[in-house]
Amino acid sequence: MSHRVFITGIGITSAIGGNVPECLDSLMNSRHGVDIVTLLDTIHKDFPLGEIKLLNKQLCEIAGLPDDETLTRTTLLGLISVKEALKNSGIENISDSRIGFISGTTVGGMSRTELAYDKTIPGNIIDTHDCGESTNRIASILGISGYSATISTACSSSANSIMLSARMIQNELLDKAIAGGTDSLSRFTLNGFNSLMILDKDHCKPFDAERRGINLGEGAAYLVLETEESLVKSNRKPLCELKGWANANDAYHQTASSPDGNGAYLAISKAITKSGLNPEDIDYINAHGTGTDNNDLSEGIAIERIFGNKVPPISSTKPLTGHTLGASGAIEAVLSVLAIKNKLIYPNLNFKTKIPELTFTPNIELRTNAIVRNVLSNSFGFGGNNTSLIFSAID
Amino acid sequence: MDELILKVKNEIITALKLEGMTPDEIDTDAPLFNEGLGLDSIDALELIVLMDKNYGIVVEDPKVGKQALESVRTMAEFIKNNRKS
Amino acid sequence: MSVFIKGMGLIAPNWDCENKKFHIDPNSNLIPYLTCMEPDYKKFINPVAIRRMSKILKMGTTSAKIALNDAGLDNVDAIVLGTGFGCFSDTTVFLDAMLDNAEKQLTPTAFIQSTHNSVNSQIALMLKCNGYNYTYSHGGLSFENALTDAIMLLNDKDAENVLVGGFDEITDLMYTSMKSAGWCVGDTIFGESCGMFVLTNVESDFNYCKIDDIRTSTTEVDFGRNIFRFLEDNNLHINDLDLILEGSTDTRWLTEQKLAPDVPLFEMWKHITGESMTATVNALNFAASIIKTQQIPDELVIKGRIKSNYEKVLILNNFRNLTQSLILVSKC
Repeated sequence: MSHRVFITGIGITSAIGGNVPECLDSLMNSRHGVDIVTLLDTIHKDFPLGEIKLLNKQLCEIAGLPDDETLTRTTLLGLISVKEALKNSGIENISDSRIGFISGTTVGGMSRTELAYDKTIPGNIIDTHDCGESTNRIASILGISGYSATISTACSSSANSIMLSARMIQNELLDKAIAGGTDSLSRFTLNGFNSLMILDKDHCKPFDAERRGINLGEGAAYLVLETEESLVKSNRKPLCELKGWANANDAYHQTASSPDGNGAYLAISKAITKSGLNPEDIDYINAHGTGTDNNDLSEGIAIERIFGNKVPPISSTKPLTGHTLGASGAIEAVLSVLAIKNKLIYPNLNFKTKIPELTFTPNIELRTNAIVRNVLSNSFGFGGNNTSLIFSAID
Repeated sequence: MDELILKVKNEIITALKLEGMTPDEIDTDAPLFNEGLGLDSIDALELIVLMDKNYGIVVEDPKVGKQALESVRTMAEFIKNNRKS
Repeated sequence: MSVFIKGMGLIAPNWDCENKKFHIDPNSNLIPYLTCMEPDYKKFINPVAIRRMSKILKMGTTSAKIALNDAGLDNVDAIVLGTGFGCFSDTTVFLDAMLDNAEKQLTPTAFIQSTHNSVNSQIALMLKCNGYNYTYSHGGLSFENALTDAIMLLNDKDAENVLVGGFDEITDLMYTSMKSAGWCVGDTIFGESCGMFVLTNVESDFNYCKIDDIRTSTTEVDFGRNIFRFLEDNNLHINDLDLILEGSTDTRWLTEQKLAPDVPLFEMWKHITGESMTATVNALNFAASIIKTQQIPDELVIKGRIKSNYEKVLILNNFRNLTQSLILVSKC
């Protein structure tokens, strides 16, 4: 049970870049990907989105597949980043039954279903509707045959995939795991968040007193997790270590976070305990920071309960990528790994005024050559589902 | 005004599925949220859509909605002052 | 470390959830799919909470409550559930509203409830449970994903009592959609159910049974060979089994290939409670009851020689020949 869990590969597709180098370049230049809608078929053109400006047909091409309308956008985004993560990690025998594939998604096949929906789900569209289909399709295309699972816990889905993978590795159920998540934009989720009146018509401004809501986005990210033994075998150097993880439930409201941030407090403090670190060891917090009134205050209060008046540099990267829902946990995990590897602390774009109830303000400028040894990444979802992960530099 | 108040109460009962409740059981001046009827933020959003659908009032700022929805009376007054249909 | 079933709650077609016994509805074959026999939910859920709940949320919270009552518990340390299609009815309510109102004037309730983890969160709210809370949605292995995780939590001693379950509902629209996609092959009868279990790592005379092992696989492997490998890994021969519950959408591996001629086989549970992505919950409930009571209900027609003692039971589930799961349960 003392197995350490290492990260040996990363892959990402998002509005700030189609792969790791492109995303890193955007991050180094604080270039965001939130813009007006051009591809999603909706009447709500006034909400800016972190949209990937490629048609499904073009995504098929990037994935190296012939155009196939049964490949959902969720599957395609996932496939592209799984392939990048596998290449990055140097895994050779992907069909090894000791390699697991754990994916998170909330949209699943809805991006395809909603286009055909006419009060029935016509033809064979239901074949691709369920969340698990995207996972199974990716596994089958790439020949992954080990244990697979799909997690759907709203906006913490892919953070939970990473946590499950780490637990399975520690339990010796797997030697390696490909963990992450994928979500495409859909009319369904855009309208859903709009009905909750938590979308910002301007570029979102997390942790600002005048914040007005979320900019949705899409994307996918996957990380390859391995045991120490498996690293010795392959003689590869890991990117970093996954030291801490925890999931807790706020048990307060179906969508809203509690005023005392209890679920967030539990997830963060348990993850820190699991990592064996102290709060003062955390060098950077990649916050959930959606830009809603409720999340940022509740998350901020939880952070102050743990870090007191010594809150480390903190930022939400959602103004860069948009809120990619089920994929956001994995996307921000990849950003956390890149922060450690490249000594970066990302800016929290659009911040102007401190939230009166909080004492801290987020980091607003890109910091380079920063000391980033331990990163806390928060992912919180509807249903009070709160997950925190801690990534650490290799000693 | 009394007529509108009664109408609004019936609309609230239907929209929020307050099964078995009658309009006289809703106190016109009691708070709709937390105490009083015990409604929550999701109910508030349902009522904002109700005002749009039934009276053509579009509320874009949730904070404005919150003020209008303090009680049945404030809601009826808000509807009276802003209605388009 | 052993894992035991301590309490169960099942809402399913032809099943009386309050008295925990079959109640065959003579009219159940009048529609082309099976629907649950629903209890009076107000007996279980507080009236303020129930107001906005759709059927699947009522089924989920009520069956959880029944399972906790059965286990004699007020709360659990973790909630881990699986669902194939999630809250399908809420999903289509919101899709319909989007279509009818051209994306305007939409209310949030159906959207919120359409989230796959809304049953999890309602149960957490009801119990005030701050613990680990996961929802799996992995096709025909959704419940099996949840069960695998729950067993790991108990093995790690991260929890002492875990609520694990699976749920899927059926609607006219879902049936029509599955039919148009060619899912209704052979004598398949689709249905719905919601099964909850309290698992524990604490031994007790009141536990139903022990869960020895679980394995899941996809089409990539030979299902038939997989069964024998699974038994071998558990040091068993197929004739050591006292009962097999085989649930298949169409192909019945054991029956058709005559792989276990000497073991009592119950292959028709999906005809009573229906096929769904989480249909395994029904079989696990039946298997646990049979082991605890040492009796097979009259409604379950068994093929083969009936044994007098039920100690080792294998549950084999196959969803649309796409996925297979094997669960081995035994007497405590």
